[in-house]
This record gives sequence, C-alpha cells and structure tokens, in this order.
Amino acid sequence: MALDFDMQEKTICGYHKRNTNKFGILENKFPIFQDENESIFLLTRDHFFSISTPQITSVIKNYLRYKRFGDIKRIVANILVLPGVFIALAFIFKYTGFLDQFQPIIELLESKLVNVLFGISIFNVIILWHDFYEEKSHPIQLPKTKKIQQKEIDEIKATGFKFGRYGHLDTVSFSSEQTLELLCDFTKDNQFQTYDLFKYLLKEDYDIQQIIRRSGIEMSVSEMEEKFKIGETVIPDYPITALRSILTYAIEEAILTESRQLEPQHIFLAIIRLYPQTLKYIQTKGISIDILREIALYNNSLIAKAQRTKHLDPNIPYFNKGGIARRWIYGYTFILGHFSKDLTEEVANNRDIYGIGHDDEIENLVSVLGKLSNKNALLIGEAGVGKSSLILGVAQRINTGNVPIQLKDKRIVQLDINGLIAHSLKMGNIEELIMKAMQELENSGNAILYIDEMQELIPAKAEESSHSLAGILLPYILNSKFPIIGTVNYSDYKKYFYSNESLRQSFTNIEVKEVSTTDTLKILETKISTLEKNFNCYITFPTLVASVELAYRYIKERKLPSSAVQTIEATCSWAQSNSIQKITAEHVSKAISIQKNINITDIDQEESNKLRKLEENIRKRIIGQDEAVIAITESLRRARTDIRNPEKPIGVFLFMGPTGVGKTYLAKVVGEEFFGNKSDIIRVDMSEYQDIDSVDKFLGTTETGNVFGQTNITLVDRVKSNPYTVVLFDEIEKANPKILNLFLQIFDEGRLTSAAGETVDFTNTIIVCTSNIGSGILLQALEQDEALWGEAKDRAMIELRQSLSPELLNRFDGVIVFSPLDITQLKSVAELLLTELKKRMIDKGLNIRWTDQIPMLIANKANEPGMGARPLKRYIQDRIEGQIAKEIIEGNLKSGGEIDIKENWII
Amino acid sequence: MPIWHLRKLARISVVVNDNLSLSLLIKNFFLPWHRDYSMMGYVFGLLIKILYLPIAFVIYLISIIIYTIIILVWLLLPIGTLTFIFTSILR
Repeated sequence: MALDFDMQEKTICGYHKRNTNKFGILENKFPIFQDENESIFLLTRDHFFSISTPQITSVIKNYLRYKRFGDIKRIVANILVLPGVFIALAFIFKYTGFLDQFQPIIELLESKLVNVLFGISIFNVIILWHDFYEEKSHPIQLPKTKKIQQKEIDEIKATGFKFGRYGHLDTVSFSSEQTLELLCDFTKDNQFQTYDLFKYLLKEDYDIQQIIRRSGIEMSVSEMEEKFKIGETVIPDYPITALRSILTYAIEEAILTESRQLEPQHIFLAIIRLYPQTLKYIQTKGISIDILREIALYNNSLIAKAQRTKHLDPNIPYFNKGGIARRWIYGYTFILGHFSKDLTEEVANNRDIYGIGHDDEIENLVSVLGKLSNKNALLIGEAGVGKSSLILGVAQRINTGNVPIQLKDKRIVQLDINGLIAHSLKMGNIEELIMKAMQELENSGNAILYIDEMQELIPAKAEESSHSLAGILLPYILNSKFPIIGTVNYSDYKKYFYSNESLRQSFTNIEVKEVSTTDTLKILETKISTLEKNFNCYITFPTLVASVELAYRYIKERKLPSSAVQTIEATCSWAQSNSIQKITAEHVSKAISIQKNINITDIDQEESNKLRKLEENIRKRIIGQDEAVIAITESLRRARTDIRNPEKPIGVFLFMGPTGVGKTYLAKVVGEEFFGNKSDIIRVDMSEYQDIDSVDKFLGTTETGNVFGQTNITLVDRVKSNPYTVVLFDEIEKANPKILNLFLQIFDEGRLTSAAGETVDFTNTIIVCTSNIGSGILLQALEQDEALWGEAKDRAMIELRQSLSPELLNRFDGVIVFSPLDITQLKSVAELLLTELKKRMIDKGLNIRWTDQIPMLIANKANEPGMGARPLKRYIQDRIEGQIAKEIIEGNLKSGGEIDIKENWII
Repeated sequence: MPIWHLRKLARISVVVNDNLSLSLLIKNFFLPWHRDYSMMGYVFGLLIKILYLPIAFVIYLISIIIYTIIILVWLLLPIGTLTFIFTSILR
C-alpha cells in the first residue's frame, strides 16, 4: 500500500474571472494567472487567502525602501540610546560622590543640553521598545488547518463559494522578510525572474539544502539543464501580476507544511510542483513532492520541539497544572511505589509526542476516566498497535492540563506485577501488602491504576502462568474506587474476559486499532534523532517511507506502528554493522530480506536473468506441463516486480489431472525456486477436514491436542511462522463445505481469522489446490484412447463446476488440468530421477553412470497408463537403488568408486 | 491601552496563581496533609497552609504589581519623555 499523505485535502485553490464573474475550483491544475481580470485565492477550512496586484506592486516598489528605513531607524535609535546610558551613569556617580572632583562634568550634567540629550535617548528607548513589543504581541503565525470535508467541497461545487463563512487573510502579510526581499531582488523591469530565483534557492540555503539532504537525493542545476532540459523555457519569467499565483501556491505549501510564515523554501516547493519537468526530475530520483513536503513538515516540528513553551504568551493556550503544592492535597503511595512507576512523571520531561494516530481512542479514554461511575477502561488491541503509547499520550495530556477538570492533577501509576511478586517475597505477607497498596491507591485521590497485560490477573490465566496473585488482587480491582486502565489483546480478551460477566461489566471496552501508514510515518519521524544518535548514522526520509510500506506489507505478524519501528531499528542496526552512514530505502529492503529470508530488494542483473529463465528452469524439472508452468511463472514474475495486488495471495491455482503427473512436485519446485531451499511447502491434506468439527481444527482452535496432550501444530501456526511459502491443499473436494467457504476469504483477501481471533496473513503465499474431481473421466480416456483426452478434459471441467461453488472457482487465478505423460516425457522424467540419484550418490562419494538407452528402458518397463511418473520412481528404487545397495554391502563398491547402471538390472 | 497588555496581565495572574497553587490550596484548605485523616494530618496541613499561603499571596501580588507598573511606564513614558524634553528646552 502506498503511503497516503492526504495533505492536499486541507486546502482548495480557487479562481475568479472578473469579465464573466465566474468562480471555480482549480483541481490538480496549477495555472499562472497573468491577466489582471483573473485572480486566484486559497481556501482552508476556516480562512481564505487572497493577494492583489496593487499589494504585489507596493511590496516590490516599497519593501526594500521600508526595510532600509527600519534598519537605519534601529541603528540611529541604538546610537542615540548610548548618550542616555552615559548620562544615567554620570548621574549615579554624581550622587554617589565620585564626580565631586570633576566640577565641569557636574556643571555639564546640569545643563539644558544634557537634559534634552537624555530625553532624546529615552525617546529612542521607546522606539526600540515599540519594535520589540510589535514583534512579540503580533507574531506572524499562519493558522493551522484541518482537512476540508468532501461534503463541503461538494457544497462549494454546487452552490459556489460563500466567502462570508471564512476569515479573510492577506497572503503578503504572512510572508517572511527573506521572502519579500527575494521577491524584490528577482523582479526586474516588472518581470519576475522565476528560473533565476529557483537556481538561487538551490544554491543558497534557506533550509532547502536540509530538505534535499534529508530526501537522500542530490539536485544540481547543471544536471537539470543538461539531462532534463530545465531552463528558462520550462520555468519562464512572468509579469508581476503572475506573482499572485506563485505566492498563492507558495502559501499553500506553507500551510500544508504547518509553517509559521511563507518562507523561501515554500516558493521552492511551489516551483517544483508547478512544472511537470521539475516533478519528473525529482521522480526519477525516487522521491515525490509529498515527501519533500513531509520533510519540511518534519523540520518545522523539530523547530517547534526545540522552542520553549511560552506560558506567559497570551496567544498560546495555557492549561492549569496544579503548581508546586498540588501533591499536598493528595495521599502518599509509599508501598505502591515499590512495584509501580508514575507514567505522568516519566513523560513530564520528555518532549516526544505519544499516542500519535490514536486521537479518537485518547478522547474516548479521557471521557471514560472522567466519568463518575464505571470509570475503568479496558484497551483491547493486538500487540504493537500502540496501547502503551496511547496511555502515555493521556499522561502527557494530564501534564499539559489539557483534560477535563475530573482528570486535573491525576497521575497514571503502572502496576509492575513482577515487581509486586518480587517485593512480596521480601515482605512476606503478600495479602497484607496488596491490601495496603490498594488502600493507598484509594486514599491517594489522584491515582489512575494502569495494568498492562491485564489477563495476567485473571485466575484462569494466572493458573497457566503459575502465579497466585490474581485471586488476591482481582477482587480489589473489581471493587475499586479509583479508575483502572487495563490492556489486553483480542485473543486473551475473548478467552478470559468475554465469558466473565462481572469483569465485562466492570470495564468499558476501548478498541485500539492499528494506526494508519501516514500516522506510522509520523511516529517514525519522532524517532529519527534518537536512532541517529544511537546508531551514529543519517536517516534519509525515503528510509522511513520504505520502513512503513515494507513493514505493512511483509511483517504481518506484528501491527503498525510496532512492525515499522522494528524494521527501522533493524535497518539501522544492520547499517551500523556494515559501516553504512547514510541509510536509504534500499537498506530497508536489504534488512527485511535478510530478516525474513525473502528477496524484496531491487532486481539486479543476476536476478533479472534468473527471472527471465525461471520458466525455462522450472520446465527442466517439470516435464510435459507447460500450461501449468507458464501460469505459475507469470504470477511469480508479477510478485517479484511488485505489480501484483498486495492484498491477495501471490497466486491461487487449482491443479487437476491424473495421479503422478507432477502436481505436488510443481508446488515443491516453485517453493524452491521462488522462496529458496530453506522454505518448505505447507501441505494440508483436506481429507482430514471432512466433518463439521474439523472447521475448528482448520482455524487452529487452542483445544486441539494429540493423545500425548501436546498441542498440534495447525495450518494457522505454520503460516504464521512461515508466511513466505507455498501452501498446498491436497484434494480440496474432500473438505467440508464450511471450510471451502473459509477459502473464499483466504483467496480473496489473503487473510484468515483464526479461532483465537488473530488474523493470519496469506498475502505472501502461493496457494496450490489439487483435486481428483474428474480424474475417473481422465483415467478412462487415457486407458481407452489418448485422442479422447481433449474431450475428457472438458467433461472433467464440467464435473468440477458441478462439484465446487462458482464463488470458489472464480477466485482461482488458474484452473489447470495436468496432461498425461507420453513415453518420451516419461523418459525425460526417468532421466531426471537418475540425475537426482546421481547427486545423492556423489554426496556419499560414489559415482553412477548410465547409457542413453537406460532412461528409455526404464520408461518402457515402468510405464503404467494413468499412473504417471510414480511407477518410474518405484522402479528405480527397486531395481537400481536396490542393486547399488547390494553392491555396497558385498564390498564391490567403495567410497570413491564408480558404477554403471546395467541393462540387465532393468529388464 | 492595547488589549494585548491586559491579556498579558491576565495570563501572568493565571500562571502565577497556578504555579503557586494558590486557589487550589484555598479550595482544599481544610483537607489534611497528604490525606492523612488523623489529628496530626489535619494540624500539620493547616499549619503548612497558614504559613505558605501568605507568602504565595505576596509573590502573586508582587508579580501583578510589577507588570502593572510596566504597563503604566509603557503608557506614561512617551508623554513623560516628551514633557521632559520640552521642559528642558524651555527652561
């Protein structure tokens, strides 16, 4: 899944044509309006930004003059303040008696001139103070905006713009001094020199180099000009009226990147976005305008993080925190402190942002904790979705005071069960210890108890874990007067909570969903500085994007954001051990490839050759089944080049045909060729799943065990532990129809929900089903006349359609009837089998040789119509392997020896 | 007088009050020290608050007064300076 940055949905660009009085929305078009009668404006959810030609003209004409005046004014004011300082010092010295001996100075101090000079100095202090006041009281700050709802856009399209609903803002007033200065510098004779400015921005810094460096690419003017023909013809000069459009697109960039004001970097981003050639240039480098924007956004977040929170600034909201005496009115938790930690205190001095992507859940949790009764919350979610981070997010909100009055001054205390057990061993009486701790909690008046992995306190689970705390602690928790937050995953919730009415009643369930890829990217952004510091490396932004995308796609056993965080950490660690300083997206692919033992790196020349020869290689091993080989290799090529649908298995095939023609063997060969030798195929005999009870077994119910009381390893477990494999369902027609219904979900969505409630991922598997449907018809045709094969095949397909539901049949990428093997093909199979035997013998230090007649002889002797290649295998085993074994036992064949296969062994 | 200065004064009042826990302690004046509901807890709590609150209140007042003076200086300084310059010239 490609990352959706969804930035564009925050703004709308509109135009107005004065001649026709027509308003409209500019959708994915970026025209430069030069005609005075055409104007452009930008709409956010609450504001609209506009810019007029007189404003632009005034800026170009007057800004530099105004700036120069301001600079001179400040210099003069500073100079004129100095005499005042000296006069003030002189007065101090005069009154302290130091100047008693310098009578002329005393006289001078009493003169009219000094008084006037002092007054002028004070007046200049006022001027400087005014400047300072103006800057502080009216800082330039672009408003932050939220997504514009589609409903609103539709309304605008239907009824037109209702400008009265929006606050009007001038684009120019949000431009920084640097921006205005650049606009003036690059406007000559009423012509705005766009390309010259673009080149200048690329050359100078203005934070643009920082963006380019983080994007992991290099941009040079010479390369653009030579290879991409980007020059003044592509980015032309415009009349001054066109600046309205350029500045509108630039302020859009500033808003999307959550900047305080319109900076030169936004003009740079706008120019990149405006022209297809510049966009193509960055695309060939492997990045997009969205990535550049996201980097600018990240840089802004770093600046905001580094800035001290200004509590005294009335423009920034302030939330009461309670102050130095807030703890005086709440009780102590001395005993609890031994086996718990205060999360509010832990996050107090941490400037990281927690709970990203869980805004709704945080709101929900805050409202549950703020209730008068039943204020316990149970967070249910898979491991790695960010349940703990969500709680830290609430702790952070408590710290900033951004919570309802009921939660003000509260602190979240995390119970450490292992710490409690350890402390109880020291203290002796565990019951008394828990009782005292719970009393402390009740008495404290400001504690919220947080228990991670809450199922550990359920007696049934505690029995499994063999600790005796649950029975003692649980009653206190159920009758608690303080709020409790617990976390549990889906399977444990279903197992231990769902059936327990009192537990269910005591908690309000909050489902914690997997965060989106966009939010995961934001979470990874917060980790950049820590990772760079720890691993002594530089992380480019495409690395983060690749980590999110590849983790989402290949690490299905964990959820986002945990999978992506683990991926980037693994990549950094791998890069460090390989002395790589600058980490790129390719390194992420490499790290995942190593970790998962699959190949997801870019296709190199060697692999390209291998993929091209894949069909040839498989054909060498699978004799006479070209149709099946072509179907399989095509799906494998699609998978390796990433063209396939990532939400489905790599390929789903149904193989039909008589026995011994290579159906299972093809599955094995594919497993070896595509996933590597280490990966064994998962073979499921569907005849074991005939009755209705077998549905539970198929879904991996936890109660399935063998006679020895050991838990059986089910399909679910095998796919979970090895998601990159070939799954072979043998004889699917024998499976219970309910199981065949489960196949619909596997084939269509590439996932299966297990009995434990976990989602098992099949998107990286190749699914091969085999069926004996119609094999009677096919066998009959083979026995009677091979010329009837075509007709028999059609009849077999009809029988298949009658036996399996159309929904299921529709979901196969291909239904392939394996052809019977003729004598020449059997000869080739015999050759293959002999070669395999030779390989085995070479491993033992023996060599076998045979003449050209031997394979044909075996094929003729072993051929049983309708039985395929299996009799050949048996024949070689009985006649040739048996003879070799005899020779070894009799001492005629020793290590390093050679033996010829004799014709009389076969005849 | 610009509204911004008044808003700043109001903000100073809120921040100082919050940081010194003034209104919080007044609201919970009779609550015992760390919720220790024994006689000792009540006595100690009252004692601490009786000692602390006047100090906090003085700090609060000083902060407010200082900023009020700054506003007054800000208001009067231009007029005062001009008057000073003119009287110096005319004297």
